Formats: sequence, structure tokens, C-alpha cells
Amino acid sequence: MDQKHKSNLIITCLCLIIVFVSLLTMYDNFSFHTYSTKTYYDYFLTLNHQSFSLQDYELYKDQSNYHCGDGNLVLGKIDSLVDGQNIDVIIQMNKKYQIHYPLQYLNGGSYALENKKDLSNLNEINHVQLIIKDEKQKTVYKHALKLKQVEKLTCSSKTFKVENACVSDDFMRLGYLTSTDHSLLKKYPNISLEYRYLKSNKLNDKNDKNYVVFKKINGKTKEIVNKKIYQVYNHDLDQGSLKKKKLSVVIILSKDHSKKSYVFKLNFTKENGGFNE
Amino acid sequence: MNNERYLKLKKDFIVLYLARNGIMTFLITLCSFGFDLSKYYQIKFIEAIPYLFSNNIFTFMYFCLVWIFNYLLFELFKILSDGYDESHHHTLKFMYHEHNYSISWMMYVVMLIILILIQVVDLPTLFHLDAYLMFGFMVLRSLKQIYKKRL
Repeated sequence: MDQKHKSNLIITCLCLIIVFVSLLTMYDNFSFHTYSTKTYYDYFLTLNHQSFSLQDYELYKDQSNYHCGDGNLVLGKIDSLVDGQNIDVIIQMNKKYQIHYPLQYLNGGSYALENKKDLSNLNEINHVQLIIKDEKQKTVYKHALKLKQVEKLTCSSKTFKVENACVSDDFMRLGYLTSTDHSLLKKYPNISLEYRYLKSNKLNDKNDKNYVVFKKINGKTKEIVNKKIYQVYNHDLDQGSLKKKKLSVVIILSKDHSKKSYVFKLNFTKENGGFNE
Repeated sequence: MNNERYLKLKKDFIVLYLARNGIMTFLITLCSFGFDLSKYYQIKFIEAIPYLFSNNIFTFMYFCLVWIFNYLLFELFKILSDGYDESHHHTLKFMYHEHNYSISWMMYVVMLIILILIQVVDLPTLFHLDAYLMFGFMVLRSLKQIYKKRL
């Protein structure tokens, strides 16, 4: 190998090492921001018909999480049924897929619906009905459910991200906080998340006094961050539509609950385009 | 007039020819990222391409970094294989259609060992894809060299 080739080899090797080290150190950030959650479907179903009601029945699925239920069903009067009679409450989607809830009928009774059956082969949901059948499988009640529009929210910094958050006029799924900064998480064992909105979009968003904190989550960092557990918030519509407000979350990492140590905020923005649409 | 156009075309072609390794390594990186993302998000390859450039700065920067890495790796391969060819060690010589061909087989053995090692090591899918495509490109280049250096 001549001198020219040798010098080329040395320069190439040096550059290669620099790039290789950069690739190694940047991989965590790259994967954190590139491989995010893909939502297959995400709906909220509601019903308000006569004395029947269904509030915020969640139907949501991504790669690793499936959630259905947590909705609250209130049954009204059905003439052909008596209290204590076994009934089959069915949520029927696309005229084909059904989720069954065996219940005991009670006029004015309130039920928390929960289901673990996966609807993985369902990509889109339209035309949802609530069907109630009696013991003889005769339909005694049938009504279409309203599909509530949700807007997906994203917010991220270099090493922190809130995934799977969404908002409608009167509801917000708060999402879960993920991070790649493990040394910071180890350093601060306690965490507090303060979800807030700007009182009026015309006010200065730099001033903390212009915000209303609507939800606080306190706990251990290792139990909250990077765990796919999320909470929801039901908003009072008298205070205006939640999805029109500027939303943000203040993250307070601390060694001790009384002493604030590391505070930063993330602003929520509406997700447009991408794979989730 | 025609001559001018011909010269311009020739110039364009030369530019493309000079940048061929850069273009090929770019395409290899694009394919690796595209297939990896399409597999992860279960979407079409073509739908994954815009995501590379418009998702966020971290994805785009990493893409550029992998491209530079591939380019440098290919340059390193070129220098090493050319230097090895000149040394005339471990060569297999044969005649085909009145031409003498010479193959430095040891280089392929080393490449195969590295490829097996990459296969065994638990790397993200992206790097597996990238490595296979890069090795394919390197083999193509060495085949070209064998053809070019035949006597």
C-alpha cells in the first residue's frame, strides 16, 4: 500500500470512528423520537337518549395497549324488563363486531363497563350501536351511539415526551410521560405533573399566573415515567371547550416533595398528518 | 447546438458518475430506514419516506449520520480492497472466455465472517438491513473490479 493510500486509510478510519461514536451516542434520542406509538383507532362513544346514557366509553388501541370501556352506562326504563332480570348489553361496531356485557337489569342503574377483548382486526370504526337483549336474546333496546371526535396531542423535548394524549371539548386523556434521560430520573425519585390550560388564549403564556391547573399527578418517578399508565380528565363545558385552549404540562422532578428541584414545561400541540390520521 | 447539448449532458453524467458512491449509499440508507419504519408502523414503504424528513430533526439527523457512515465505510472498503488486490495474496486465478480473472478470495471470507457476526449480534432491525444492503453493494463493487482488472 503506497503512502497516499495509507494517509487516506488513516483519515477515513478517523472519520469513521467519529461518526460511529456519534451514531452510538445519538441512538437513544433517535429511537425515542422515531419509534413512537401508532394508534390504530381512538374513539369515545356517548349516548344520551331518553333516560339512557353512556359517558365517555373509550375505545382505543395502539401497538402495545388496548383499552375499551371505563365508560359509565346508565339504563333507563324498558317496559318488557323487570329489575334483576339478566340482560346482554352489546356494543356493536360496523354492524359486525360485538362486545358483550352480561348485566342484571335495574331501572336507573349505573354500570361501569370494562372489556379486555381485543379488536385488533378493526382499523376503522363507524356506525356504533348500543343493543340490549333479554334472556331470550330478543332485542329490547337499540340506539346509535355518538362517536366523539378526539384530537391527538403531542408534546416533547429532547429527552421527554408525552405520548397518547388526546383532547375533545370536555375530555382529555392525559397520556403517559416517557423519557430517555435515565440519570435524571434516578437522581430525582419523586415527580409531579401539573396539567394546565391558559385562562384565555390572548393572555401571556409565559406568566404562570395565567394558567389554570386542572389535574395534578404526584408519585414516584419510577412508577410514573416510562410506564404506559394514563389518566383521564373530564372537563366542565361551562368553562369553555378544552380543545380550544392552550394546554401544557409542568413537570416537577424532586428529591423531596417539599423541595422543587428540576422544573420544566412541555406545551401540547395538535398532531396533524402522520400515521395516526 | 447539438454539440453543446451533448457536452452539457456529458458534464452532468460525469458529475453523477463522480457522486455515484454518495448516491448509492444515500439510496441504501433510504431503503434501510424506509423498510424499517414501514415494518414498525405497518405501512407502505413509500409512506414511510416522508416521515424520515418531516417527523423531527432527530430522525433526519440520524438518517444523515448513517448515510455518512455508510459512505465512509464504503470508502474504507475501497481502500482496503484495492490495497489487498495489489498485494496479490490469496488469489484465485482462472480463465474464462479467453480472459484471465483473478479473485482475492480472502476478502470475501472476511466479509462473510463479518456478515455472520452482524447476523448473530442483537442489533436493531435498521442496522441489520443497512448492513445487508451495504455488503451487497460492496460485493457488486468487487465484481466490477474483477471484471475491470481481467487480462
